[in-house]
Amino acid sequence: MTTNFPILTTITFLPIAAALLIMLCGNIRKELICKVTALVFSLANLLLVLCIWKCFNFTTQAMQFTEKLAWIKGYNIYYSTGIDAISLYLITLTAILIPICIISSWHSIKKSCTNFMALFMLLEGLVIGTFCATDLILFYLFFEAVLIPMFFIIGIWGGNDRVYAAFKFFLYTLLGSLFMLLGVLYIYFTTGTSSISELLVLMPQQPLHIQKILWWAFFLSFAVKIPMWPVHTWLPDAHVQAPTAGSVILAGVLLKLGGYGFLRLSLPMLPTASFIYENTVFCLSVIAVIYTSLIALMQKDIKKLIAYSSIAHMGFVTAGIFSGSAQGIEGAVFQMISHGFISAALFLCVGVLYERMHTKEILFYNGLANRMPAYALVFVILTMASIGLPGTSGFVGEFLTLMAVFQKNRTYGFMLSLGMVLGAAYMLWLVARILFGPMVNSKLEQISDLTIMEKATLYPIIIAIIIIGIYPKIITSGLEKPVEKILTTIDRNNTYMINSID
Amino acid sequence: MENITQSFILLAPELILSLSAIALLLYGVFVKTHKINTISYLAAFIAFIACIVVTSMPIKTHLAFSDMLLLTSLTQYGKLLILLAITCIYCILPATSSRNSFITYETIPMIMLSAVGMMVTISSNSLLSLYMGLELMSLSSYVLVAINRDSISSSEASVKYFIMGALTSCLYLFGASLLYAATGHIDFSGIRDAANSIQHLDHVEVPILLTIFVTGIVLVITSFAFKISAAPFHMWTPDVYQGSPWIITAFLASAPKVTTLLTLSRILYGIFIPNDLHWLPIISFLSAASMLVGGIGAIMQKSIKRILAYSSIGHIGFALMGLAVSNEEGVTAFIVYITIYLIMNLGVFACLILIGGGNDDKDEISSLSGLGKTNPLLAFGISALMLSMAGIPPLAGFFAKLYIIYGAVKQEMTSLAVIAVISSVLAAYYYLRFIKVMYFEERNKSHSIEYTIPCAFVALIMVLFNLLYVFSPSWLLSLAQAITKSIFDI
Repeated sequence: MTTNFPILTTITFLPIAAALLIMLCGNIRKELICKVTALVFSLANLLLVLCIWKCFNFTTQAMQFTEKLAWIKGYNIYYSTGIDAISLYLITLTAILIPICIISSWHSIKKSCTNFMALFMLLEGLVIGTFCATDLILFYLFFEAVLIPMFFIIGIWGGNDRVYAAFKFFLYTLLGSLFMLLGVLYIYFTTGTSSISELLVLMPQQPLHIQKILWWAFFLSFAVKIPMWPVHTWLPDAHVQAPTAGSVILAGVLLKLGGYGFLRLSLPMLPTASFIYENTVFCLSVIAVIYTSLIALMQKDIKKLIAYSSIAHMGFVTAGIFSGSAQGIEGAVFQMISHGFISAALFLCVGVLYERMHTKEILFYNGLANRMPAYALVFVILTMASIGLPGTSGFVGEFLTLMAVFQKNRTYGFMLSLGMVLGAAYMLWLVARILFGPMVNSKLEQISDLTIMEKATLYPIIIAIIIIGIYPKIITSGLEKPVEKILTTIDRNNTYMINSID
Repeated sequence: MENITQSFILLAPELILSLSAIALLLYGVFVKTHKINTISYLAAFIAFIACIVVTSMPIKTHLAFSDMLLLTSLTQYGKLLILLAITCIYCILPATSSRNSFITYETIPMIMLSAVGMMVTISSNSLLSLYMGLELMSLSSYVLVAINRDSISSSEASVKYFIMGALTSCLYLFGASLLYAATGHIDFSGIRDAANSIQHLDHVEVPILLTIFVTGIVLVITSFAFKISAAPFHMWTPDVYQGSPWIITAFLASAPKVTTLLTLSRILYGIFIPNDLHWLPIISFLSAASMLVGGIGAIMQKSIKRILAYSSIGHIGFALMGLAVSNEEGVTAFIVYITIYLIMNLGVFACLILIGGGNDDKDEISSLSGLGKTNPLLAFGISALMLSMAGIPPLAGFFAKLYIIYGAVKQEMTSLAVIAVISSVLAAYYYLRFIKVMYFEERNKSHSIEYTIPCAFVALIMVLFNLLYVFSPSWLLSLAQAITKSIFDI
């Protein structure tokens, strides 16, 4: 591929263009055409992402495929994009999950299907834009614009309490990100630039008290997004109310925006403050892991259980990121990707049941393995992956993270491991209740196994989970350079800070 | 003689409008059978011609009519905004007239006269010409609010508006007389110089003169706060908005707001600049209070017009924040903000009038329910405008707020910035309610939509502007920067 081809702009704006196209087609009211268009464009985007993989150089620390265009002239703000391996993995995750979402809602979305497809394509473009942005203002723009399609997706196609959930989701996240906006503007004012790579050099030289305030501004925003205890309460509502595809993309990709923000902005840009607040984050992560696992144990709704398990898994991510060691960060990124696949597939599984029986009550289901062997197999594999069984992707991320945390502080490490045990408890109990045992509920007798469409969505994810579980090097080898870069930035800046204090 | 001719040439846009208004009034007296729609489009055309005249005038600072009026790039830009707003209003007007028989012929010249008043106000260079302009603008507005004579709420709104307006005029006149007493001048530059010397004089009378001067400032700012409906002087706004016919509400929310805000900026930076410290806290307070009132007030409202009234109060708060910041970034942001505010506002009203046809029974927000199904295009437009008003990226409203907050952060007015952030989250709630009603709720009966092409065109332009602004945010910014320079260079 030629070096000048703006591939990142293409993968950002191709889905957005597709969204516009679908919306225009929507007036003709040919739903099939819209669905096919959405699928074709999302697959084309996946293909483009794979092209990037082919040309990607994993042996450099620099941002690749960079583009820079004047945007707000006279204000030193540019439309600048670029990716490293971390962004690339998350972009790939997005590009894989979107076609799966589209296929999974092929039949399940009954009303205004065209808008649904258009919103998903819009969402894909905005999320990829966030992962590509290397300018702070541009990053913020995409980061917050993601709210718009998600608000519609939850609000229009959600469950009974969808309006409440959509508003809670939107306003919660908006409040968090507006404080980040203040932080972004302050950074821009003090340094005169909004380019992230320049800020990595300039920001750590700011006085410590400023760094602390800025750190909190960013933390608030990303903590709501990822979400961390105690600002997680929007997530269960949003998940339970959202349609299946909405939950898939919410858990699979949107939560990662928060982790990505921590990794790209908080940690390298404000290393000293991150170091100071390390314990706070560990504390919150541990509370998140244990507390939400306990809550998950007591849930009556399958979807809510998985939503809480997401929060617990994200606790590992935050702990890993703020451990500030190579293992921890690699583990966190790995965990994000693995959780992206696992939770997406779990939500798809819930969707399978909901579509057949129109309920998500755990007590309603029992002995499904008798009638749905393929489904049971998939669900068990996913459960194993979710609780971190070696050989699945869930293991690698949690193992690396735990190792890093143990090196930092044994107490926290011990508590996080406890979280893993609890995770096994609620997931296995769930499986035991809904899959095994005799089939008591007579309504379940006619339940059918996975259809081809459902297999098409679930099997690729299962394969991905197992491949990266058995051979994690696919991801960890690529992560070496970007993590190295983050660590050198942190080291350099901490030395600078120590020198300046002396 | 030479000077008078020169002055008249400089005032060509005002002359075009006032002569056309008189001609239209006369035409109405002699010709009884007229079509309001045709006349309205004609008026739109006249206003548009005036726009072109304004843009074709050289951008240079001029004084006209023995220093009574001043023309700078700021005043020219203000006039352009007013005329564009009026053009849009005239384009929208026929969409409402078919359902509202009370929209009589006189509405059209009245709007025109009001616009002349605004243009005089914005370019005035003395306390007297400013008062003249304000009165012409306001008196025409009182008539317009009362145009629906048979409706009780319209009459009530009109009386309220008139009493408030009269009070405002009193405050202004009192303040102006105090300023004159303190300085001995009524022209702005004279007042500024005298104010400068008051502070530097070592004289026994100085403290008392300063007190008189500051009281004058406070009273003048208060009168303007009434006019722009900044909290805590905002009480009349929701009532007047609700009582007026749709088209008049659209008018009130657009051009007069822009006029008074720009004039306020001229006064603050033209006369009072040496006395920075006296007015800064006032404007900051007005700004913070308006943002909060705008955010909280509309949460429980059911009437669309009342929601929009509170929304405009909130926007005024944001705009004032740009003035309170008192650096060049702040004023630049202020100019960009009111431009985008005007565009969003006109767009929203154009869309809503397309749905309701200006029918005043359709004021409940629930009347929009299910619009996402029945008319997806219009619902899309309203959603885009509402999200823009809420300041969600990537729409134009986000950039407006971005620049304003940036100015505040730069001046280290953190508390104001935090209030701005909190109130935008509060305001986002009721903007999202529009989307909720349109998309998340089912509709029992269908909407009656009457398209008039010009009105739809206005709506389309405004929506497109909001959507596409993100691709080229710099042109409006650089324009505003040039205008700001002209303010600070005086």
